Amino acid sequence: MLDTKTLEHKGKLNVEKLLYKLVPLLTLLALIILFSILSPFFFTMDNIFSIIVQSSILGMMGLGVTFVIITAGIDLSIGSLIAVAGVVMGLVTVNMGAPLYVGIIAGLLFASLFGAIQGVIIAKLRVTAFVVTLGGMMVARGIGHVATNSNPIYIDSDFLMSISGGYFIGIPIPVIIFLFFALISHILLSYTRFGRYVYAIGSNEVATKLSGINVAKVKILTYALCSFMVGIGSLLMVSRLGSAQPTAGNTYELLAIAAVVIGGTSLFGGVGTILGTVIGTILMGVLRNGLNLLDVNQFWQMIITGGILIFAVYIDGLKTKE
Amino acid sequence: MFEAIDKIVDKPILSLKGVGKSFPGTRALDDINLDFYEGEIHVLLGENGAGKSTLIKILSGIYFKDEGDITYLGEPMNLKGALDAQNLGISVVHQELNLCRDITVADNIFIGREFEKNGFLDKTTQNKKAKELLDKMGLDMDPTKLISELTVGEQQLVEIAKALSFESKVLILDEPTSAITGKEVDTLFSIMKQLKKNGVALIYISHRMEEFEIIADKVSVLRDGQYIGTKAFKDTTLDELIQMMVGREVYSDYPARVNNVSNKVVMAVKSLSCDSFFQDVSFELKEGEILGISGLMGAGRTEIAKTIIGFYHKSNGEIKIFDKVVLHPTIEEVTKLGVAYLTEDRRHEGLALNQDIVFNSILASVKEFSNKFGFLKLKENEKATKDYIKLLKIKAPSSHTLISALSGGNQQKVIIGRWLIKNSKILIMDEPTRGIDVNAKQEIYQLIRELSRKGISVLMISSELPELMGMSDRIAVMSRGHLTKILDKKDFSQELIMKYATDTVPA
Repeated sequence: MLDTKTLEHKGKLNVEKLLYKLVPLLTLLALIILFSILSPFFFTMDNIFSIIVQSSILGMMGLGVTFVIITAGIDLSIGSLIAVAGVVMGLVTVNMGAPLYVGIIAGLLFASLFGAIQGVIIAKLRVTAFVVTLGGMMVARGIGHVATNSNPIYIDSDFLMSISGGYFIGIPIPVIIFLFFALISHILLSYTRFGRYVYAIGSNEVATKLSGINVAKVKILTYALCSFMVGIGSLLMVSRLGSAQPTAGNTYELLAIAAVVIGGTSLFGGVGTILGTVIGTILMGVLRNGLNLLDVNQFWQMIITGGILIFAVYIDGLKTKE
Repeated sequence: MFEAIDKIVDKPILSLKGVGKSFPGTRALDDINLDFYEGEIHVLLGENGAGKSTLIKILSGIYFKDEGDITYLGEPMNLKGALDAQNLGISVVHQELNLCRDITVADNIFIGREFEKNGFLDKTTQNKKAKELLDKMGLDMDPTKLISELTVGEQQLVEIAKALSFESKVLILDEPTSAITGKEVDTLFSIMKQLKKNGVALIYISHRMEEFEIIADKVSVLRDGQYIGTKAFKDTTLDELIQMMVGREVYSDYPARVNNVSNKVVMAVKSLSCDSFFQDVSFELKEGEILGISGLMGAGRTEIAKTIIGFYHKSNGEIKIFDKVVLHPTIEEVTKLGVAYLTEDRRHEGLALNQDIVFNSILASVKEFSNKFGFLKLKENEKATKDYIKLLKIKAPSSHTLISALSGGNQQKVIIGRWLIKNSKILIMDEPTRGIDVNAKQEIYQLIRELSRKGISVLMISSELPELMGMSDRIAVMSRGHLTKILDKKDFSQELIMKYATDTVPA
């Protein structure tokens, strides 16, 4: 009797928890309604697409780092990495004269390898993820500047331009790319062995290890995957700018992590979804876009975004509190 | 140095009458009557879970008694908190060290009570006071040294110095010798004797009976939260104390073995050592056998389990699992060979707490329950989980209930299910009934018996002697990193087990 009672009680809590889970989505809807009322330009197809296009670069980073954060890790290097992966694309294509696709592959490989190395240091040498990726952030930024003498590399390619500027069945290509990788990430996390291990490590690393799972391998793969996603983001960025810039993406890592956290992924690990990250990313995009339309100056925008981030984590804390 | 105080003490400084304390579901202390006198070393003795820690926590203001009276210095004492106890002159040196490693000895002694001059820290006075204190204890220690530069034993002594700096009249020492070596123990004892001369009442908690001869004046025994009795040490024997400690009858309601254990050895451990944890441990586990492992806290039981499965790295010896010698065990390999370790600490080492029952049940078999492209066979995950929920009678509204919403017993069943789904043949169960209520315990016993009947071998580590004696076919007894004896069922007795568990020399 007592058992069922406590379980029913837990059932009620679950409804409450579900409501907490919906907070990011509800906030997003509230913002959309608010901006639609305040600005006639906001709720138009063009503007909606432009929000997602603008969000896609941060979105790719957010997708990648979602995996890392669910393992209870962190990756601060992604803002620098998005620049240096583009630099590799530029160097291989322009300076070495290789075809563009070779340059793109080289950039993606470089990024993945960079992530894998960080993963090895974290999982095998047991240095904290925060420190490793903080160092990685500086190293990557430095490599970008050293390799280019701090100059941008202009890549002249119609194909490259068409990625950021093109449409497919009426939808901007960056939007398609972002949503495609979001879908892949969702499938990876929810329907595969790898995804199961990612959640398991974040929920209880020791228990996962004691269950005979090679935790180090999964962690290394996670950091490599995160960096690969950043590489795709880098491609979008190079395409949009028409050049690879060693200074690009500064502080993006923090914006991406903010979007992930707003989307309900817990920094303590074990909890989080790709859908949440997509919502968090778009929420930040909507906020920036809407505030721009309302002529709110960018420093006020920073203040508002920061406030929303803290609010989101506060709500997250309520959700997990008993 | 201390001056000897020669006075006849007749009134206790600290006196407990009928003290009791309950926690939800357990009676931790019941009708405790104890008197502590100035200038006396009073040993508290009892098995794990006998109520010693609860008693200390009440005396030091961490817990509050439910009933009974405590008199201190002739006045009724009702502590409001830990600070209260300290200010009254009752100090505790806890088993685990509570020092800040990166500041100095003097800083630690006076933490929270820093000396100040004009609003700035007065390090000179502080160091001088600390030095005086250390000198008084007969310690030649530099108060400006960092804690991290000291040995564990020296740190223990700093803890005592800190306790004494409150001008304690009652000093409680909770297993202070469990982490220190011979010479440091000698220093500790000589300090204790000096304090005794100075009129401090010392309450000493330890399992190490050979120490009592050196220091004990009186010994009081607790068992299952009950006060058993107090003896003047010179009027008693170790055997009598052991008898008092374990006294209770073995419960008869453990499910009996219905078949014979086969002679097939499924796991053999030869001369296994792991650095400072344990040395030269050898035993064999047979098919379908339940081999109990007994020993006091810190004897190395869990460490043996974790070394076998490759969580710790062995420094020496051989592990053979089903005729396969495993040279460098890794958890992946050992689990694949059919060995499972079920932790004593479900919360930190066993459960993915923010996940559901399915997730936790499949955790060790994700590979078997996904296809060659790495996709999970979700339906099969679900089905296997539901089968085991039924088989193990796990009480839960659905297979997707969060594991954290289940009771301890049901959580334990999920973990057992996890390894049955994995088809493990050797289960190493570390305190399998810890944190589980009485009825669920019975179910776990039934389950273990049933598994052993089906040929699954169990290495059962437990601090509860009755359960160990009721369930095991043989019991291996550990004492301080050594396996001192393997007892056959016919030789089981609490006295004998306790004797080997406190042995200093391996047999």
